Amino acid sequence: MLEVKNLCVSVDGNEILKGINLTVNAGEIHAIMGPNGSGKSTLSKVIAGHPSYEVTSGEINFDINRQKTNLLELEPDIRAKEGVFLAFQYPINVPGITNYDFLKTSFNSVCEYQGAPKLEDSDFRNFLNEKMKYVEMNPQFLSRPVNEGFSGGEKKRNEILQMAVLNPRLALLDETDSGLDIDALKIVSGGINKIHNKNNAVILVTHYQRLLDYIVPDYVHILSEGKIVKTGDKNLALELEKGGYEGVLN
Amino acid sequence: MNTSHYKQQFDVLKNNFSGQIVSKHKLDSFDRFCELGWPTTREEAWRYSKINKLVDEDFINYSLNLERPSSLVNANFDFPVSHLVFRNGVFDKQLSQLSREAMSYIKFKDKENFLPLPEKSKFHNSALLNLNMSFNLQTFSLDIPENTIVSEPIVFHFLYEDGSSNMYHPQIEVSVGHHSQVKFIELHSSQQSGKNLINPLSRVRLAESSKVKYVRLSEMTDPYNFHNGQFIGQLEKSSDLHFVSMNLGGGLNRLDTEFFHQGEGAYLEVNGLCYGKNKEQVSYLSRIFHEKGNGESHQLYKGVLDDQSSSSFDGLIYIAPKAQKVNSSQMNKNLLLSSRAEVNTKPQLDINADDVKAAHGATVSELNDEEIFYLMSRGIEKNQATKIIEKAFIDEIILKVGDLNIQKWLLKFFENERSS
Repeated sequence: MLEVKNLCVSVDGNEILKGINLTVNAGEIHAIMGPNGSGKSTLSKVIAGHPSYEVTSGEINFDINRQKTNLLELEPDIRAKEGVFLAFQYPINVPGITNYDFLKTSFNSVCEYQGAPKLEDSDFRNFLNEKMKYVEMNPQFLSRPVNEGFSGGEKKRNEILQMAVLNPRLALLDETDSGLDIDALKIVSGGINKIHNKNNAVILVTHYQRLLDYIVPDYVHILSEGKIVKTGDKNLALELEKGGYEGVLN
Repeated sequence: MNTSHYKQQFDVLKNNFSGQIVSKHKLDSFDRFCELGWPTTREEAWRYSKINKLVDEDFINYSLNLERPSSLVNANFDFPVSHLVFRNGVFDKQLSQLSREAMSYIKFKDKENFLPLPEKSKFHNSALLNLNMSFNLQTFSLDIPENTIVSEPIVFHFLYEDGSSNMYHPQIEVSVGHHSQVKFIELHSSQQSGKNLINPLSRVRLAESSKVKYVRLSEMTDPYNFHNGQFIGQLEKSSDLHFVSMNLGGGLNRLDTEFFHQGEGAYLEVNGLCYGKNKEQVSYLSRIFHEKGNGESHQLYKGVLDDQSSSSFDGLIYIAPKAQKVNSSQMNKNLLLSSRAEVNTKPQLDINADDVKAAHGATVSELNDEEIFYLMSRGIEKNQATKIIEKAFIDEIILKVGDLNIQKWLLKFFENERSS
C-alpha cells in the first residue's frame, strides 16, 4: 500500500531524513520509535504533504486504484482524499468554525472527490453520533470551535474522531499518546483499534512502549539520525523500554 | 479648502430653513469648521487616512427639498425589526416600517440641535464633526422610556442613492431610559459612484442599568466614497453597552468612536471589524474615557486586508485619577491577505489611577501555513481552507453581537460580500 524509497528530506538546508525505506501493507500496524530529533515527525508530515519540507530525493508510492502513485506529486488535500490521514502531534486551533461544520466540510469534500453522495445534516449527524462513540466524545464538543479551548487530551480525541469520520486507508498518528492520562490513552487507543481493519494500515509515531500495550504493532522501526536503523516485532519496543536506545542500538 | 464654496452652501442651508433662525450653535460650528479646514495627515488622528484626493471636490449639501425617485434596495432582514429608512440622510416615513410602539419613541428635533458634546470629547476640535453640526438637516431622535424592553431590533437604515459630489450629515440621538433594554442596527449603504462625503453622527445615552446592543455597519461600494462615521456612547451607572461595528470598502471608510463611563460600574464591550480590498482605506479611531470607577471596557478590533488596501487603528483608553477598580483591555488584530496590504496600529493607554487593570496590544499576521495545512490534511482544498480561516477571523467579531438573528444576518451579509 505504501512504499517509501530512499527518502531524503531537508528543512532550511538541514538534512533531516537521510534515505528512508519503508514498506507498509494493508492490515498492518507499524510503530516508529526513536530519540528526539531523529526525524519521526518529519516522516509522517512529509507523507501527508506538509509544505515546509523539501524532498531532495526518493519516492513515496501509494496504491491508488491498484496503481502505484507518487504521493509527492499530489497536494495535501488530494492525499487526504485518497485516504492518507495525519493525526497531528499538536492539533491546530481553528477559531470561528465549529467542530461539526469542520467535520462535515471535510467529510463531504472527500465524498465529492470520490464520487460518493454528500451527506445532509440529519444523515451526517446520525453518522457522526456513531463515530463519536469510538472516542466517547461529548456531543457538546461539536458546537465548539475546532480545538479552541480543548485540553490536550480532548484535542487528541478529536483527531481520532476526524480519523473515524474520514476512514483513511493509511493513518499516520504522530505522538497521539503524548499528553494523555491512562484513561484517555485507553479511550484513544480503543478508538484506533476500532477503526483499524484488514484494509487499512496504521503508522504510529511514539516515544513510549505504553501505547503499544494497547495497539499492538506488527513491526517496530527505530529511527535514528534520519535513518531506520533497526526493525523488529513488538518485542523490539520492550527491549527499548528496558535498555534505552543506547542499549538496543549498540 | 474652498471656504467660499462652503459659505455659499451654508447660505443655501439657511434658506432651506425657510426663514427660521439658524441656531448659534450651527453658526459657531460652521465658523469652527472654516477655521479648522479639512484634516491632513499632519494631524495624529488622521496620520494614516489619506483624504486629500477625496476632499478635493467641492461637496454640495444634499437638500431636503430635492425630490428624486427612490432606487431603494431591500435590506433583507429576515427577522422582525422596526425598519427606519433614511433616504440620503433624511428620515422617510413612507418607506419605513415600524410598530406603533416604536413610533411613539420617535421625536424630531429639526429646529434644535444635537445636545452638547461631553466636555472631554475630542470631537470639539474635529473639522468633520463641526461640518456635520453645521449642515445637518434634522436630528433624528429616539427616546426609549424607562423600564422598557424593546423586543424587535430598531434599524436605522441609511441609503445613499445615485449622485456625485454630495455630502450628507445625518444625526441620530438615542436616549435609553433606566432599566430598559434595546438593540439597534445602524446601516449605511452607499450605492453611489463618484466622490461623496457621508458624514453621520450618532449618539446613544444609556441611563442607569439600561442595556443596549448596537451594531453599526457601513458598506461603501465606490473607490471614491468617503464615509466618516462618528459615534458617541455615554454610559451611566451600571449600564451595559455592547457595540459592534464593521467598515467595508470605500476610498476611505472611517469610524471615530468615543465612549464615556459617566457612572460607576458601567460595562462596555466594543468590537470592530474592517475589511479592505483593492485600494480601499478602512480606519478606526477609538477613545474610551473611564471617568468613574468600577467600570469595565473591553475592545477587540480586527482588520482583514487584501490587495493594496490599508487600515489604521488608533485607540486610547483614558482612566481618570478617581476612577479606581477599572478593568480595561484593548486589542487590535490584523490579517494580511496580500503582501502589498498595509496595517497601521496604535493602541494607547493613559492611566491616572493606581488600582486598575489595563491591557493593550496589537498583532499583524499573514495566513498561517500550519492552519492551512491542517485543513488541507482533512481533504479541504487550499482555496477553501484559506476562506475558512479568513471567515473564522471575521466571525469572531460577528459572534460577539450576542443576538442570534442579527448574527445570522451578518454572517450571510459577509458571505455575500466575500464572494463578490
